[in-house]
Amino acid sequence: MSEEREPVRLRDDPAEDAGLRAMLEAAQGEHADDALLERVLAGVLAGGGGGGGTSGGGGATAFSKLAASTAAAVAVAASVAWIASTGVGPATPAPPAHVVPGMGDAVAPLDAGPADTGRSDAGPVATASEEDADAGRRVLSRAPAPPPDPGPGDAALILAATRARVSDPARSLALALEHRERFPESAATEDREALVVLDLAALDRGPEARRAAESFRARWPRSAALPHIDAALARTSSP
Amino acid sequence: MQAASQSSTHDFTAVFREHAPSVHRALRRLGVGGADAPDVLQEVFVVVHKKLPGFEGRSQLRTWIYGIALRVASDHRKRAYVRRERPTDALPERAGSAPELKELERRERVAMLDRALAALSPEKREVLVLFELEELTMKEVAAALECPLMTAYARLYSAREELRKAYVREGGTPS
Repeated sequence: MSEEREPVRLRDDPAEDAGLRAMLEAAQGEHADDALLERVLAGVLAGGGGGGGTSGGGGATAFSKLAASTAAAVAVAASVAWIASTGVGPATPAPPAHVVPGMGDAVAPLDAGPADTGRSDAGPVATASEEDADAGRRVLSRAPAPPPDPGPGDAALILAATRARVSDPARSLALALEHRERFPESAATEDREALVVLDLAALDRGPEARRAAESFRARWPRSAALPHIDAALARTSSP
Repeated sequence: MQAASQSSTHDFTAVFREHAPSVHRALRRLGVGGADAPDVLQEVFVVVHKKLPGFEGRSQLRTWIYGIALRVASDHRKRAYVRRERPTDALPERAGSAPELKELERRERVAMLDRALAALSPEKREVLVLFELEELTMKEVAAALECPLMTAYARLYSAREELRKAYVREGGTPS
């Protein structure tokens, strides 16, 4: 195998058209905005942090997590069977309706980053508080109406909301709220509600974010999203 | 335990600060729209964050990161729900001063480049972006693409030809 000489790059080749070289050079002058990069970094650390990097699997942030959890959720279709086996896990999908009201006016959370992070593994293991257990038993004993069919709209919408979290939290919030309206109880409910909290915090709507966070904590006291929610709340300027 | 965790986080932060700007730029040239770029960039570094502790250094770190970026960008392109992007960033509303005009001119050239790159197949586009714009060596390009070196060369030469043609179609002068 011959050792090829490294080619001369087009923009360094005087024989190349000057306009084409200038076009390539122009791209070199593109720099991402520092503030944007900091937001992305915060998003990665918040969503994928799970343990600050030591944990091998806790890295996923909002997106990947969400993607993973949503895909899984859709696959499972929020099955009652899953809920039963989970026992009331914190990350349990299809939560009882009574919890939702708790979220108050606020907006919802989904947790793109954080929540997802832990939730996929957290589900079954979840330790449940007595309240959770009660809530879970209620859900199970009510023999529930079959969980709403997530359908492709569910996953697509929550993924879009998650993906917009860093670049456009207002849009992310709007999508999460739309998801709440269209799919009030889906497998992605915990993610969505965590995302709402994170979006509110990102928009510096502190009081609403805190109210939503309280409701979230009450409903999912062991959620892996909570550390990230707390971190996001700490960054809001309002008390 | 906590110390180790913090140390790992700090390492990741340093890696992010060093590589994120160029990865962001590469993602743009790989067809990730401006509105999606921050999210896709985050996806890339979520993976980096997750896998960095297991990175064995068999390739250069930047090659490894670019490889992740290529795969994430490819996945992004395949997603049906990707937002429709405007082909270029918004241009300054007014450009009166010399620096503003210069910046406007630069953006127009970049927009032209993006249109030309869009005419290439993903495989050729990836080689071109990594070699011509991100200045990886051809060995690094092949490693990032996980393809034989000769394949990378073949794609590069073919991509250059297509780029020249696309450039002319965009109104550039043939060399």
